[in-house]
Amino acid sequence: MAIEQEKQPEAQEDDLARPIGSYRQVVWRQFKKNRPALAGLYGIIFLSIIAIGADVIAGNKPLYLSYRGKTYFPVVTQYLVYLNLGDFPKELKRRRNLKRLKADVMVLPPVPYGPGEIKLTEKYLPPSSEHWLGTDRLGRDVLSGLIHGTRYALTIGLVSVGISIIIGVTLGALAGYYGGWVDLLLSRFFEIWAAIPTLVLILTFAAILTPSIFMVMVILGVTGWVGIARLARSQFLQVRSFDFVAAANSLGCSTGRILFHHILPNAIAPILVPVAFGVAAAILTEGGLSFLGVGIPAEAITWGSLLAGARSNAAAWWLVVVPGMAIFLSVSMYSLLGDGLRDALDPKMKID
Amino acid sequence: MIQYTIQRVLLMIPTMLGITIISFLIYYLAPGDPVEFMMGGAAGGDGLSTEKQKNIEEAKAELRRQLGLDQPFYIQYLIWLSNLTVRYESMNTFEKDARQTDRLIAGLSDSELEVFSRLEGEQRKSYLLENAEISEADKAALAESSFWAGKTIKVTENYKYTGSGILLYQAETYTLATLNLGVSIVDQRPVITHIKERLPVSVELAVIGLLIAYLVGVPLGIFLSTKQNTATDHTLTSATMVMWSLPTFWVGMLLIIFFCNKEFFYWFPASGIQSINPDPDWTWFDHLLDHAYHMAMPVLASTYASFAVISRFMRTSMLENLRLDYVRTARAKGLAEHFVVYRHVLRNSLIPIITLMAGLLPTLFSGSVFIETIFTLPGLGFLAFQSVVSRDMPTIMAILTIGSFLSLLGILIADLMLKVVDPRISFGGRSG
Repeated sequence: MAIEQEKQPEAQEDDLARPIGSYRQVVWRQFKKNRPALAGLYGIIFLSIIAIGADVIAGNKPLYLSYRGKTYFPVVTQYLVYLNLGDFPKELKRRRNLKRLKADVMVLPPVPYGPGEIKLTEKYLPPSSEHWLGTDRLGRDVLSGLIHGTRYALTIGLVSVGISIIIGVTLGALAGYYGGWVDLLLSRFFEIWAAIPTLVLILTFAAILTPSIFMVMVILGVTGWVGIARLARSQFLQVRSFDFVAAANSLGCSTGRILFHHILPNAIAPILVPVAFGVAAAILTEGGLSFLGVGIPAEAITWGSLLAGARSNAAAWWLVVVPGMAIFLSVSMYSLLGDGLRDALDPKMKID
Repeated sequence: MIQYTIQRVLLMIPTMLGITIISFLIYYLAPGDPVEFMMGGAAGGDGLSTEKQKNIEEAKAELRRQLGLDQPFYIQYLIWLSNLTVRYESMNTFEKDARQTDRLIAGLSDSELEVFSRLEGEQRKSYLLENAEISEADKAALAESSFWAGKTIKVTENYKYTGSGILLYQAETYTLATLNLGVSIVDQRPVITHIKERLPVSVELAVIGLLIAYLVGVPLGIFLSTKQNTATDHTLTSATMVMWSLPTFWVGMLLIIFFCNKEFFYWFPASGIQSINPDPDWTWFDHLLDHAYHMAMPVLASTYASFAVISRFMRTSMLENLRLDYVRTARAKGLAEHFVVYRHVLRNSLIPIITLMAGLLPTLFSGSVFIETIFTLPGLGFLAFQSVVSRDMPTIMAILTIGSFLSLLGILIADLMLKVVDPRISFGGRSG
C-alpha cells in the first residue's frame, strides 16, 4: 500500500514533521523511542533464548560426554529427540540419569539438574551454592524448573493467543465486512462472551476435560478472543470502504480473498496490540491455573506449580519469591511491549 | 432516564439468555453421566446377575426420565432455565408437602412405620392414605401431591427421632434434583444453599475492595496530576504500573508467607474470617475488630491492583482535562487554581473513572478465586475452586451463570451512573 519513498538524510533528525519510509519503518522508529517498550522487547527475546536453550543451560544431560572411548553430545541428541529426528544410542538410552555414568570426561550444563530430577534426600533446601534457588518438596532444583518452565509459559502464551487470533480475526472480519444483521448477531455474541467471567469459564473447562498442556492452550485461546474480535471488526469496518476493496470486488475476487488477502494485511497492525496483552494475560492465567493445580498435568513443572509448592511448606519462601517474580517479569515485558506498540501504531492515542 | 433504564434492562435479557445457552451447552456437552454419578457404586459391576443388571438399567432409565435427561437438548435447556426462575415457588410447595408427610408419619404406630419404611415411592403415598389418621383436607392434598413420585427419597431408620428436618432436607434435595440437577454432587445439598452461604464473604471482599480502591486511587491520581513530570510523579506512576502487573496469587502468597507465618512475622491469621474460639465476653465491636483482623490481608491482596489502575486512570483523565479550553477560560477569568482543579477539572475527570467499575467487578470476582483459596475464606471464589477440584458440575454451572449475571449488572450500573453524571452522553445510536 504505502509507496516506498527515497530516504532522505534529514529525515532521521525530524521524523515527526516528515514521516519518511514505509508504514513499518515509521512504526519501528516510533517504537524505538519508547525505552520501556524496547526493554520489554529485549526481555522477551532473552526469555525466548532461555526457552530454546533450556537444555543447554540446565539439565542432567551432559553437554559433552566421553564414555568407554566414545564421545557423545547428549544435549544435542536431546534436541533431535524433541524434533523427532533421532534418538539416544542404545548404551545411553537405558541410563535414566547420565550424570551417574562413570565417564572419562563429562561436561554438564551450568545448572546440572534436570527439572524433574527427584532427590528425596534434598527436600526443601534453601538457596545455596549447590542449588542456587533451593529445592522443592521432592528435592527438585528450582532454578532448573524455572528455566524449563519458561518453555511452558512462552508456548502456552503464544499458541493460545494464536488460537485467539484465528477465532477473533475471522469473526471480527465477518462482522465488520458484512455489517447489517451479521454484524448485529456477531456483536451480540461478542457481548455475551465478554460478560462471562473468563476465569470461571476456564475453571469450568478445566473441570470437564482431562488435564494437559494442549488443553490449557485451547481453553485460553477459546476464552480470550473477544478483544481481538472487537478490534478486528472495527478495523474491517473502516477498511472495507476503501477504494481498493471496491476495485478487488469489481475484478471478481471471492469474498474470502478480499477479506484475507486484500483487507487483512491493511488491517492487521492494530491487532498486534491486543495480541501482546493477550500473551501477557495467557501467561498470567496459566500461572494461576497451575498454581491452583487445575488443568495442568501434575508432572509438568511450570512457574505456577513451583509457586504452589510453597503452600505445603510455609518456610520455603524461595518457592514463592522466585517463580512469582518470573511470572511477574514476563507478564510485565509483554505489557510494556503492548503499551509501546499501541503508542507506536497510533501516535494520536498516546496520552501520557 | 427511566426510558433509558428500561431499554437497557430489556437489552440485558437476550444477552443473559445467550449466556445461559452457552453455560448449558458446556454442561450438556461435558463428558460424564450425571446418573452414573448419582447412582454411585451401585451402577454396574460384572458379578451381578442379568436380572440385577436389568434392574439397575431400568433404575437408571427411570432416574434419567425423572431428571429429564431423555429429552432433546432444547427441552433440557428449558427445564434447566425454568428452574432458575421458578425454583423458589416449587421449593415452597415441596416444603409444604414435606411438612404434611412428616405430620402424617408421626401419627403412625411403630408396626405401621416398619411396614411403611419397607415400601417404595407411590406405595408409601397410598399406604399413608389408607392407614394414617388423616383429615379430608390433608387427604385431598396428599392425593394431589407428587412428593412420593420418585424413588430417590430415602426415609432414614431413625426418621422418627430426627423429626421433620431430615425429610424436609431430602424434599429440598429432591425438588432441585428433579428440575435441574441443582444439587451439589459432593454433599447432595442444593447448590443455592451453598451459594447463599458463600455469597456474603465474596460481596464483602468486593465492596470493601472497591471502596478502598476508589478512596485511595482517586486522591492519589489527583495528587499525581498536580505534580506532573516531577520525580514524585515518575516514581509513583511507575509504582502503580508495577502494582497493576503483579499477579494476585503471587501477592497473596507473599503476604501469607511473610506476614501470616511463624517462620517470619506472625502478624495476621492465615485463614478464616473470624477466630475459632472467640471470648464469650466480646461485644459486637470486638467481633468486628476480630473480623477486620482476619480480613486485612485478603482485602489488601484483592485491592492493590484496582487502586493502581484507578489512580492511573484518574491521573490521565485529570491531565487530559487540564489541557482543555474551558480550563484556560476558567483561569483567564481569574478563578483560584484550587477552584479550577477541584471544582471544574475534578468533576469532569471523574466520569471515565465511574465506567471503570464495570471492568473491575469481574476482575475482583476472578481475583477472589485466588485470594479466597490462599486465605481459605468461605466465599464464592473458594467454592468455585472446590467445585472444580471435585468436578461438581451443578455448582460450577450455577457460579458461572451468577458470575455472568453480576458482570452484566456491573456494566449496566456503570452505564446508568455515567448517564447520571454526564447528561451529554447519549447511547441512542449505540451499536455493537
